[in-house]
Amino acid sequence: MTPKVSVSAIACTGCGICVESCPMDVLRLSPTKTGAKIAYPEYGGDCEACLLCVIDCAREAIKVEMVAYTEQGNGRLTG
Amino acid sequence: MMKHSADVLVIGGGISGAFAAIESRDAGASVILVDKGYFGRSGCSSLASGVQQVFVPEEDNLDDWVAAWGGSLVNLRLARKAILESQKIYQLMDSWGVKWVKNRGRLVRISSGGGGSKALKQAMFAGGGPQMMMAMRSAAMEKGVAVINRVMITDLLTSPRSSDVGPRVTGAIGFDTRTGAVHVFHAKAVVVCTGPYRFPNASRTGLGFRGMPLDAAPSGIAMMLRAGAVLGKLEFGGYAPSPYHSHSAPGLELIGGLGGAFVDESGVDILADSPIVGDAGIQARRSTISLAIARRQAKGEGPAYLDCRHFSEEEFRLLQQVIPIVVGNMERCGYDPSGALLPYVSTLPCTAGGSGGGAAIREDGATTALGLFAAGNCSDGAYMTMGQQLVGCAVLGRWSGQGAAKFAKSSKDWVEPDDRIARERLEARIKSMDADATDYASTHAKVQSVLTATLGYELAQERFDAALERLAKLDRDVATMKAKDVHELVKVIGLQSFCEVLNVVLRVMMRRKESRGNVIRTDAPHTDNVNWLSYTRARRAADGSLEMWEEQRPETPDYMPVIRTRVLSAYFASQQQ
Repeated sequence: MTPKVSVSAIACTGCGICVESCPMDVLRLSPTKTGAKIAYPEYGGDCEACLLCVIDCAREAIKVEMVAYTEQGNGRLTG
Repeated sequence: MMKHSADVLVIGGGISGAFAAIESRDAGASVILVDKGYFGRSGCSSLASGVQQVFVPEEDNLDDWVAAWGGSLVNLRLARKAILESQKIYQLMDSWGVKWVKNRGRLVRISSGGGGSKALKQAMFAGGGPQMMMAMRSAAMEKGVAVINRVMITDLLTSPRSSDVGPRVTGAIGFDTRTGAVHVFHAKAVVVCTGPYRFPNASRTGLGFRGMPLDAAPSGIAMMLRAGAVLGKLEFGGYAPSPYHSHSAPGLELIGGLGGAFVDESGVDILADSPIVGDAGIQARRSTISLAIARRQAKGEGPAYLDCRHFSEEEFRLLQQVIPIVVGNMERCGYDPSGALLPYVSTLPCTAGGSGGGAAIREDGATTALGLFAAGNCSDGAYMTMGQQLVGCAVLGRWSGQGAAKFAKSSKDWVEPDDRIARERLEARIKSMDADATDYASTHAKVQSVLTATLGYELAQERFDAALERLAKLDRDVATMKAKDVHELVKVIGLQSFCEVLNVVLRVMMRRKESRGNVIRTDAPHTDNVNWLSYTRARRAADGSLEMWEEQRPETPDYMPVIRTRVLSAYFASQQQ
């Protein structure tokens, strides 16, 4: 099993708290078409499922699931 | 390039770093705390369970506590001092807003070992490590500690002194992990609080890499080694039994305290008749349980399982309150702890130094390098406090913060470090990142295979020889690894630091012809207190060679009386028959 991070574009307000708190530095903010910023997992393959982003997000916008492991490159999921 | 200066620089923002920074600040020093991640969210402490040893004089017996924490190499006088100080740690944390589980104003405590004694009682805080560290962060910042996040320190800066006394540490250098900007720090005293060595960014496949801290690599230990500090306590190996599918999973004290059990697939308690854990069962030290599970894995018997199926609803609610990350991870992996057995594995012995191991320190946190202090699991301080526990790290943080502030105040020989060479080297490294270079991933895989395929759970001379030979062949690959971007540079430096420290760890383990901690040597299955009741020290000499030697345990009442029979562990004795 390996962690998979996703951010709900509807719930995320782009406050950036998850970008600050992630110990593995997985998340970044990205501008959307409307110009508002939302968080996304730029380095999703580094997620260790510590759930600190989930705990810190006031909007409950972040989901960390455990999915089946897929070999890709050097045994780490990327993207 | 950004330049900062302060009396005291604290590297690392876990509980040791937080206490070191606060204590130095309280002593009147100007303090900068620099963290590779975000202070309050990085490292081990924010992921810790909400379970902490707090000695309450009216309720607890000091001798029981000392007996529980004292091993044959532990300084009992200092352990006693640390145990007594645990109540002060609790009072400070309480005053800073850490929320404890209380009933009518009194701490609620569970009876649980962790130190191998049923006499130990553990206090709990609500919300686990995340809540605790945010309160610690606020306290540090309110007191005026300057915090710099997302800067990874790569090297200590030194000023030369006469060659026979070694250099004096006068600062540190690092880079912003997002922009690549170089940061230079000048400080009269530096406190390294970077946590234990651990194999960084392990792959999801294969067993034996679980455990915390997630983002740690031994860059702190490696830089202290390079600065000439003497290292100690590297001989004990990995320590943590952890859930098969999840990396961050502390809280065994709570689960054990509530009556959880480690069982085999058919539900039979594997610790009940285990000569390894003895009567303590699941309340034995984590390293001991880890050894029992590691034995199963080495024999090919697969994981052990944690059984919490008989817990009441109220007990499950407590689990959710005190260890939210563990319970969250179990649920995400599809396990319902109330209905299923949870598979647990043990950490491979050379991949993590959870029980501490790093710079050898004195009571005031001073290492052998002048101006350099260390606390927590990047030091050998577990020999003088309460193991690798949160509260032990907090105590060491306090002592080193006091020591560093005092040293900074009295320090007259500080000269501004010449940081030009270190700066140019780091800047060149950041500039030379090459989008086409992909050798980090393949080098990482090769190092990982040394740990899993060559070393494994049961060690022996030929395994050490083979591993060191393979590492030597990988030397060039490791040294010339390139990163695609600054984010990957953090990983590259982490892996390089790991190899640097692993080289020392393997040589120390190989040198000690015995089994101790959860290092299992099939060719020396005794815990040998006749020949090895000693501390193995290691130091990188000025010419780059590795020096190793033993320091005999002092024969004073500060240490546990030891029965000097050849075979001291019932488990290792049974291996001889």
